[in-house]
Amino acid sequence: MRRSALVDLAALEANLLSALEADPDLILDARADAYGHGVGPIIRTALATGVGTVRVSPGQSVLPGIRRSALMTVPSKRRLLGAEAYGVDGSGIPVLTLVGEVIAVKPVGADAGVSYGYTYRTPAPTTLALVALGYADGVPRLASNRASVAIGGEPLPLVGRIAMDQFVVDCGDRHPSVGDDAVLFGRNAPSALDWAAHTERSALDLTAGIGSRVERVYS
Amino acid sequence: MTAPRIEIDLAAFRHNVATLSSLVAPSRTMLAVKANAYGHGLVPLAFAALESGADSLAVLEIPAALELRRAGITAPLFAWLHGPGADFAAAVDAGIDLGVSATWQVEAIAAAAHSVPARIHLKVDTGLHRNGANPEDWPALVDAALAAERAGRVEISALWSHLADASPEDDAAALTLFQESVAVAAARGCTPPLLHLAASSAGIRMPAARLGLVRFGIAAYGISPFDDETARDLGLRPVMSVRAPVAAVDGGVASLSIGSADGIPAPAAGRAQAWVAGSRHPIVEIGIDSLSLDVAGSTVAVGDEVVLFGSGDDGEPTAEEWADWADTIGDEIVARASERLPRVYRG
Repeated sequence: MRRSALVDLAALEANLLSALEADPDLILDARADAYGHGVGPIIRTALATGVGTVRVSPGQSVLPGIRRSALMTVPSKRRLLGAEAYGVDGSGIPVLTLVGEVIAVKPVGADAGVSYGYTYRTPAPTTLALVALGYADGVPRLASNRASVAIGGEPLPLVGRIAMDQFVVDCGDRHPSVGDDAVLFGRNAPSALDWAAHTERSALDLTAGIGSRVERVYS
Repeated sequence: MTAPRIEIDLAAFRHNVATLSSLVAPSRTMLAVKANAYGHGLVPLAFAALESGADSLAVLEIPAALELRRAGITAPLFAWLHGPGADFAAAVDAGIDLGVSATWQVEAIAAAAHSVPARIHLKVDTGLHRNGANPEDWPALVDAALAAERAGRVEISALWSHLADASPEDDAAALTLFQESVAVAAARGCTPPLLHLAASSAGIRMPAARLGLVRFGIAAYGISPFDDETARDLGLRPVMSVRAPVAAVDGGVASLSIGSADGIPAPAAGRAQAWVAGSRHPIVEIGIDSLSLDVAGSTVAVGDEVVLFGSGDDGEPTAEEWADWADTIGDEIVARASERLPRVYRG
């Protein structure tokens, strides 16, 4: 199955440049593996963009190819730039886009129960798409029956309980194909902030929780 | 002082697998080790399952099955979630049993099976509405599989489905639909030797659904599949514990170097508790890589080991309690446990 976190380093650079203009002394917050974005590529991009200091989690203070003096593991009085750098503050460009794969598509009638506990029943005949991402991948189960997912560029409701490895999208009168992308949040998709609200955590908590089955793809 | 870590009690796991497999015998036990064995670690749990009553393993997808083959596991392995890019040829070469939900999969598997026939398990959707053929598409799936079998490309090893655990009535209706689908297949000449339907909950509470084998998952990891009985009630023992030393104590607040990025669910802050020095203390804040515990009035000191969740034997919280605090199920608590922290295997 394709499970991808597309990480747009040019978006990071643009977000950092506008923040550095206001405060050249800022510290980039790259704790928790740069909140799931991947600490190596994120820090290399940040240092090349003019960031002087990066905060990392304890245990990530020695990174190959990155000068140790640029890294800190303790709080400081200088401004710590987090959500804005990763484009999950509501105004910056989203750096991470989480993409799953549609692996089954099926027509169902009205009143079809969906997923465990049948917490959703189709209000009318519709098409359901099965997406191969689940809570083991960091898609919080709390998003069940709350969040939206973009398939074919269209935000569509995630319905029924999210399972460990898969969830279902109610596509209405749309007919996606097996192999199509299902974009949870990021570029051309619902916002990580919406997902954060649905899952009672911060957007950076959400990206930090993306699991290792999801391949990070840098561009 | 030991660092934050995840301890896996293999003795507890073996006890659970033995308990569950005895419960359902003579039905056989397939143990689900998908998602890195629910966060516990794929290879060690796979070997432990096969040592204690399971005779096959369910892995979700082909790459995990291949990893188990590389680790030396020769037992039957079952993979059933496939995208269009699935490497069916590698699966057939490695002798992996493949779950099949759609005719495109039968065709792709038949095309990939050059050396030996691929063993396939045909899945019908009995109401969960995830994968599995819709009942109206079932005859066509069976016919496509029979044609591939006649051509020597596949061997239809089983018919199967998965239950929604919505209510006993819904599961009984799904069992009836499954039996009707088995009859439809038989009328077309498809009578494989194996039928399977139940996972943990029906395996425990619905003997009629046990059939040829039960695919046990969460119960084997010592977490109840029910909301009205705990694992302890069921005679099962939690397998995972998450532990971290107190890194600092300041003004009655102890801090730990473990946080939400390690899978400690942020929504549980304010409700959750952790266990240290013989008693429970409230967790007041869950940060991204840190956590604070109210230890006012206690003798908790730097270096003391905190158990976030564990067996419950000494009063520690369990993953089931964390699930309540985070408004989820224990499956998510363990499956999300830190991939960064080392697993330490005991027993």
